[in-house]
Amino acid sequence: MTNLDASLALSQRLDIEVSKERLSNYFTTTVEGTVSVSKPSSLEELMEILSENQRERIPFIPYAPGFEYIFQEVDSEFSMIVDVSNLDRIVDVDEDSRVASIEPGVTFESLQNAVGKKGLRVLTSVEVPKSSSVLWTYTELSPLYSWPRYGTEPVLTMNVLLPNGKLVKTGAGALPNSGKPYSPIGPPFTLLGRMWYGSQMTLGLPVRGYIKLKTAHESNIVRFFKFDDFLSLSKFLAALKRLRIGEEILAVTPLELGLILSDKADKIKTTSYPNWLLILVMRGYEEEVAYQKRDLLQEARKLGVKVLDEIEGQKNSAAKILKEIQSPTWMSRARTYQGGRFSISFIAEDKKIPDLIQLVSHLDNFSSFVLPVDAGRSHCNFAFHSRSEGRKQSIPDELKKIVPELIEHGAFFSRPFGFLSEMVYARNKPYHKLLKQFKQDLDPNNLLCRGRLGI
Amino acid sequence: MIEPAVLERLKDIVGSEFATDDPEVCIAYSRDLATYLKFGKYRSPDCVVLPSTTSEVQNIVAVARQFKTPLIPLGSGINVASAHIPRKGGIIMDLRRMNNILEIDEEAVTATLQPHVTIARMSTELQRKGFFIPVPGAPSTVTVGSNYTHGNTNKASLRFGFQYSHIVSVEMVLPDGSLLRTGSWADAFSGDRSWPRGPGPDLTLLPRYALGLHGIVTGITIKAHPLDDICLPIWAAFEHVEDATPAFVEMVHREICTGSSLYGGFKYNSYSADTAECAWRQSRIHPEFILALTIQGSKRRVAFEEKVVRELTDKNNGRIITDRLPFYQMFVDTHMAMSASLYSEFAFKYWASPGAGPSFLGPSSMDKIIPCFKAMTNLASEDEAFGDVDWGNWEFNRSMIAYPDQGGHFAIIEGGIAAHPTDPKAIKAYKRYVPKLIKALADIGVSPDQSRANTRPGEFGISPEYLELAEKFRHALDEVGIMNPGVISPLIYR
Amino acid sequence: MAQRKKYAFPANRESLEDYYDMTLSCYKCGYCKYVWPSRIQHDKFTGQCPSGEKYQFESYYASGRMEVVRGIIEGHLKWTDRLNHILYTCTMCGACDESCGQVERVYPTDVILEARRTAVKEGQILPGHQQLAKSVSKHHNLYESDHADRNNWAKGLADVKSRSKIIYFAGCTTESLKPSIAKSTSKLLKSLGVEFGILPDGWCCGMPLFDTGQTDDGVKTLKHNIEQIRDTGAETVIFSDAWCYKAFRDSKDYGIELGFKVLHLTEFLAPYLAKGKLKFDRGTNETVTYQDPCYLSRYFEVYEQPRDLIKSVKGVTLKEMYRSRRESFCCGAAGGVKFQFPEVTEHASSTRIDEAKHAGLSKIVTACPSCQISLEDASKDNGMEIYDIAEYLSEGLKKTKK
Ligand SMILES: Cc1cc2nc3c(=O)[nH]c(=O)nc-3n(C[C@H](O)[C@H](O)[C@H](O)COP(=O)(O)OP(=O)(O)OC[C@H]3O[C@@H](n4cnc5c(N)ncnc54)[C@H](O)[C@@H]3O)c2cc1C
Ligand code: SF4
Ligand code: SF4
Repeated sequence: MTNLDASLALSQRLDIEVSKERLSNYFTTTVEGTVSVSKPSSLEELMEILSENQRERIPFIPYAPGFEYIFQEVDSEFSMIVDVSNLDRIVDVDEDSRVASIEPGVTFESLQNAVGKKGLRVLTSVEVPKSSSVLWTYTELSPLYSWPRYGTEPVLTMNVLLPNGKLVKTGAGALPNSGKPYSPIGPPFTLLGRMWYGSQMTLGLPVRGYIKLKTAHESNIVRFFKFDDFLSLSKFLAALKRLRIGEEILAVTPLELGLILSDKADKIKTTSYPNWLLILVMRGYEEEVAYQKRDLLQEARKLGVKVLDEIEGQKNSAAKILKEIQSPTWMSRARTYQGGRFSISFIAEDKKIPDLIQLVSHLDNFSSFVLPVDAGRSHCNFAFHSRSEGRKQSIPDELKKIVPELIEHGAFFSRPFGFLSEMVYARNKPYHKLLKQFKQDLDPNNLLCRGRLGI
Repeated sequence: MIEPAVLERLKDIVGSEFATDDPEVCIAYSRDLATYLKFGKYRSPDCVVLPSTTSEVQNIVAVARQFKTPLIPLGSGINVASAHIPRKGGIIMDLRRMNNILEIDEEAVTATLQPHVTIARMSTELQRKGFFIPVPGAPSTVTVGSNYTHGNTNKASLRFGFQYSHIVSVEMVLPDGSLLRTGSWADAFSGDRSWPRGPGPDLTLLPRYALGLHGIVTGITIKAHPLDDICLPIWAAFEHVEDATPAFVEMVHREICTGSSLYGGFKYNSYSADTAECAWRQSRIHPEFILALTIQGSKRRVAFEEKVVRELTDKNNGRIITDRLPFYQMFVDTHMAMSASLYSEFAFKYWASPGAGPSFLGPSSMDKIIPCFKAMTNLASEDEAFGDVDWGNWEFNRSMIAYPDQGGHFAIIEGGIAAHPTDPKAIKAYKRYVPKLIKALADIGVSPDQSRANTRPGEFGISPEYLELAEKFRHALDEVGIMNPGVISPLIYR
Repeated sequence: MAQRKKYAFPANRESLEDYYDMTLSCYKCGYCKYVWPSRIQHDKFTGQCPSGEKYQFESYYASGRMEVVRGIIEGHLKWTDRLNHILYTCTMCGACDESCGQVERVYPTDVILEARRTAVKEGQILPGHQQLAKSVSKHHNLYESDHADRNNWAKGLADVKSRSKIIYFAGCTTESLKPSIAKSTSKLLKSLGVEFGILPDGWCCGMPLFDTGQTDDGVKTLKHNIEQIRDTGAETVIFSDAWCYKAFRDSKDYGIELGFKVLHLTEFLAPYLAKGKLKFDRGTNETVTYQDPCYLSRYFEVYEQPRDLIKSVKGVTLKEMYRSRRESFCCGAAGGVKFQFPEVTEHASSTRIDEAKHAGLSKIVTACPSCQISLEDASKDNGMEIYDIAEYLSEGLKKTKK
């Protein structure tokens, strides 16, 4: 019996729905194929599937809504997709502590709706469509954030399902009586609460997360700033950081801006846009935003930067941005622009970003957005769009050639997806060795996401 | 006893003047602030070694491994769980000589340093360049290497998170002697160490509360922040916890203030009292609850947040007292100059407990703060540990603090008995009182953090799944079991 | 097992056991190791404890010594070379007391001193310290100098007087090794028209004996001096040497009421300066720094007078090192250390010289011959100029007269 057959057979044995589907329904992949898909509707079912997979040695890969965006390329070294979309309970929303307890199937959209009623909001990242899993986006794309004010840890604690089907609760969750396990520290070995971040689901599956919610403010204001070059933008950012202005901050190239603003991607006209546009959202009580506006104006004047309420020639741009942040749709459009989008994300020092752009800007329909994640450091997303089938094949190859150069010039791929992992870990051997050791401990049969990260 | 061959090898590595098994040297590592250690048996290591470089650390680890000798890294040595006190003898690796600031990156606003740079030194150096690090409520003599990996709160937690959130990357010598770097420092070629995560699964917290079991931090990059225009400590006083807490929670929800902690029961200034009576007197003339807040930022921000603080204090029957304190300026100065600690820089004589540090330390959701304080008060009024003032046997005091982490989604509750640090009677009082306190808080749903030496055996263990996993990793890293052996068992398994 | 004696101040304690609770009180907070946090000036110069800085093991800091002493009290440690080394490498600089006084109030130097006394009682005297006692007993000075030569420096500058309201007590270090300090002092006093005398038979003050636990010998020599002074009917005694100054000022600890005022030269000169009666001009514009002698500054808070005097010299700018006043770093000479463990003194002094150089300074003024000597020894190859304050000021007098 093949692995595929074995996994399909689970269906009868466990009384859990397992179907046969096309791989490309789940992941962007160049590998065509058929896989079995199990769709547990409770944690217990999921645990059963995992134990069963261990027993039958069935390699499997988890899927949650939005993962097609995160994993742009997957190996086919598995025979079952474990789709957690149905684990979509919002278990609790604690208004005192501003924490939601959620399962991985819960999407940004559903959670935003649920907490909005209580005067709270979910931190979103503009990069991630509203239909994506909150929990797995937070852990997988961490620290993907455009909200510098709130730091890098949107998940407080988690319950993680290990490849062997056992459940581990992190942070305060490991303590008894923890009905509200919000503290990520507490028991020794804080690593056990952190190592799942960025693990590309190779070590275990977060099945419950206690995530931070923020107050939905009465006053939400957007401001725009135009820059000819990235370095002057970065200088301005440093000043904003010191003043702590800006709940969400995002810098975009003309094409990226077009993709954000336009409902119809293919009609974008970018000629009137500046080289770099900085978008800044201020939130708070009216009085609070009022003083921030004054601080902002003062600082902008000092640096000779003009503060714009709207993008010139774009009516309602501020409102559009707010809506987009509350409920991001842009990436779903961007992915169809010119027929397809290829992108890579990394961290770089601001001063190195212009050089990095130089290395790739010749590629098809280059666009970029940059999230200023920390002082002098940004998360960069470089994207390329192409309609031609030929290019669709060759852009990835070209990227493979360019990435080493990007790394040489200061790009740090903290989330080495797909082909990147080999390149990155070749430079981080001791780190990789330790990861392999941990993986071996957690998943001795290497069933979960086999092949990913080279561990 | 240390094998002569081990000592010889250690001397070869660090030079004969920096390794010894003389009992007169070793004895100084046998005890810390914990009262129970003061009266217990000696726990000297068998020898002490002082490396000065990462490669020396690697070589020492190799020797310890070869001879299967316990090895305990030592930072500042005042952690509140006595985690650096040898359980099974062996080698203390005092990291004192690894005290260089390697780099301050002004663009990334980070500092890279060897583990034994003190908070005070690091702060001074950064402030000179226009930056600051949030200082812990500890004496600022604690070292960055051990405090950032094992400490908790700081005076800007609410805004920036606890100490460990400031770790950007670490360099560690693993128990097999190999060298690991995390974050962007993991890249063997770039030299960049400004990014805290990855690559891939995030191992940057490998040393965090690992009590030395996962290896030895030999380098650490930490995040700093640009100095604000203004830093304003502001304290609100309340007579009732039912007033203080809503004010506190609403401030958190309004996302103002850089730091915040709620002090109750035993007052901050009693820390400096020499005698029980003196502490008692001081506690009589001070308010029952103090909300110690700091506001930092631009002039406009500070003005706005101060206004909100005053409004919320007023609304909740409190009063701002900082305006009236004669020594207020001292706090303002030290905030900007150094530390915002209430007790650390200003004496903590009367503050100690037999279990070392707080008797209880555990995380609580925001709605449990009032019940925790209530439980403490109720318990104290009926427990004989607290004596009778009229009869002059008022030897102990109760204390409780709540401090929230970044954004105030939860708070750490710290509570226990305060007593004179040299009073053996305190051990008894503690043994009677603390289990009751733990039970009372557990009934509310607030569990002690089991990493503390003083929590009770058995009753409140960490989940077996968690421990099993922890043990797996520990074993993967250190199959010989040389690193700080025994430190976990009395804490958790006992 | 030793009993805990609660809340007694050091003066009320009589034996090492009485210090037990102090050793227990040590919180291991580490403040005694460093410059008080809010006063750190430079991150490279934050150490405070000369012996700890040299040997680095915990036992060589005040906090570790508290543990060691506890070990002695509890009978856990026996007298060994290492134990003596730990006890006697402390320079008694008092930096630890200064910090600890703000936190735990353990009074480390009192504890260490009592341990040294106990050591002596139990027959533990190190060769260097034995030698010292011998020299004091035989030659009445620390350096085996001929006692008859003690007042050689005074020819034409000062007279032995049987009666005098003011006595200048130069001290054996000055007399034997740095007579120029005594000469300069006399010149300064003379320039003010001060009538003073010197003792016919001044002995060593006894400070290094006290510091090394040889209290009885110390008291003997101190008492001799006090009697001599009393015989002159002196109301004020002026000192050049911070050790002598401390020996006299501590006399109460040995049950002696002095009956006269004890002033360091700088304290004596300060009122004259304030009244405008002292003017100095060394004929140059220069920047100097000041080394606080621990036994003058930290113990008795004489911080300002020497500084005021230096600043009053025309054209002179006083620039502090990173560690100064309460946070000053010891030259390493005191506590009997230089007679037995000169390497500690060397280490401390060179650290201090490094600090001065790092701060861009090339001239150090101090107010004690021992500080001067140890700093000079550490400056042989680096061009740092070291002055005693009396020398420095008296050279300024010459210029004024011109
Ligand atoms: C009164 C008081 C109040 C305090 N308040 C606070 C506070 O509010 N916030 C706060 O953050 N801290 C606070 N602390 C300090 C905090 O408890 C310690 O900094 C922390 O526990 C670490 O201890 P340490 O620095 O003394 O290190 P150590 O005691 O030396 O070490 C702690 C553990 O880490 C291990 N270790 C040490 N160095 C290394 C290394 N380089 N690599 C790997 N392992 C190592 C040791 O083996 C030991 O197991 C307080 C301390 C006191 C005494
Ligand atoms: S300052 Fe005092 S209490 Fe603190 S470690 Fe030093 S001697 Fe001990
Ligand atoms: S007196 Fe000076 S040398 Fe002695 S322990 Fe204290 S600080 Fe160190």
